[in-house]
Amino acid sequence: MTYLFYALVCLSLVVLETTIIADIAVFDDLYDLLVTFVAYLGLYRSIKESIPVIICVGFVMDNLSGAPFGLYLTAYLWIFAGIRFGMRYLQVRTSALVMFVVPIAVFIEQILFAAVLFMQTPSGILAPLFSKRLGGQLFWALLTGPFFLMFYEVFDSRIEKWAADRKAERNGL
Amino acid sequence: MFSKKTVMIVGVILLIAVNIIILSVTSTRYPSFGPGRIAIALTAPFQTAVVGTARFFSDIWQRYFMLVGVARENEKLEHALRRSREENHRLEEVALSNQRLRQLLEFQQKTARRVVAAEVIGKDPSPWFKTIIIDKGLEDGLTKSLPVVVPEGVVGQVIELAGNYSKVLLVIDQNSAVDALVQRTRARGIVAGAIDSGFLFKYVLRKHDVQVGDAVVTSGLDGVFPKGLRVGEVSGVVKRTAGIFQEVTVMPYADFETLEEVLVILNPPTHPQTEVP
Repeated sequence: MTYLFYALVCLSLVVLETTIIADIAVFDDLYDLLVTFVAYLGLYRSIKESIPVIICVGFVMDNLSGAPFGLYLTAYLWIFAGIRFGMRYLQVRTSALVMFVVPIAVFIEQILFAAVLFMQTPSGILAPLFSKRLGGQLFWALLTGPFFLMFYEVFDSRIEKWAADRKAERNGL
Repeated sequence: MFSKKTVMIVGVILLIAVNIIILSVTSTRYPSFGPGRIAIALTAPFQTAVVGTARFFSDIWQRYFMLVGVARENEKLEHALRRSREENHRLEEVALSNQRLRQLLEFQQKTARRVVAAEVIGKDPSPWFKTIIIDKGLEDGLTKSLPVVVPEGVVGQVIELAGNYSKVLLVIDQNSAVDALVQRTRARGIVAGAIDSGFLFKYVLRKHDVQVGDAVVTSGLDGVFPKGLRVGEVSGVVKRTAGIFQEVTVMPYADFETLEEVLVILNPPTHPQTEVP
């Protein structure tokens, strides 16, 4: 059930950002929405459960995008690893730091993208455009990221509770 | 002298007569005197209040039903208006789609090449890379590297295929390159996607005459795009004091922001083989 929820969320986000959002000029600087889900997995779910999801999502995004194959997958894995690493030293889940998780994840993704792009394009052309886009994406991430995390957490916990109740019913408890 | 009974009858008759006389007298003029006015003055406010309240509730009752009726009618009218707007919008979309498809059809007839029309169903999720997903794939006879065009100009080439879908690398992507010519002077170069927008027309020799406004067309020498397809218009030329090439920027003719339908050329040109005598 949980994996079905993950699949549904990922599919919705992918479709949303490749169809509707891609056509709306206001969202030109909107960040990759799947980053929010990867951040959620990093924050609240286990490694065993998250890695297969991240690999699947990264694979799908790499196939849909014109980016060098593996870039999205690499970015998502680094984001996941970065969040897990950060959580070893900081109480992220229960503090205001949770607000900055998505912007940080977006930053990690964009740094990786920039590394690839700088290899192909002269930095003089890329740097101003990159900083402008990064600024826009961080703004959006700061604005909307916490809401995405809240949404996933609420739905995921409800689904888990529902699944646990059904299991208990089946066991006659 | 008179019996008691007789006295009673006469008394009653007199009373009736007096009553009739009084009634006949009072009926001719409106009596207005003190106690009557006081009674009216005392009762009228209550009457007014009661009647007013009754009317108020009566009005509310009646108007409520009336308003419910009006509200329902309003809802119906709004619904009808919304439907008309939707219909209007749909018809406008159909008209625009019709116009675009007509252009595609005309272009298809002009090109004399086997083409298949496809609809754009998705765009690249990243702003750094420029690809689109179209709804035609292997099952429609598409193969890798087929050119994708619109009547305005070149769009890109097929880079990945699935059963009914394909990924198209747009010519504005920085990884894309098209062999092209300046239509007026036949100056040759490579049109490559720029990271911000538009194209860079690379490797154009300094000695060649290129001016802003010149049309750039495909040369057909890359083996992907047929010769003579419109690519874009020269928007800037910089000739530095050193170097053998000039820096030329080109604005694409095709509007990549509003791409909805494209044509995939199924029989692109092949490299002309030089026959050795």
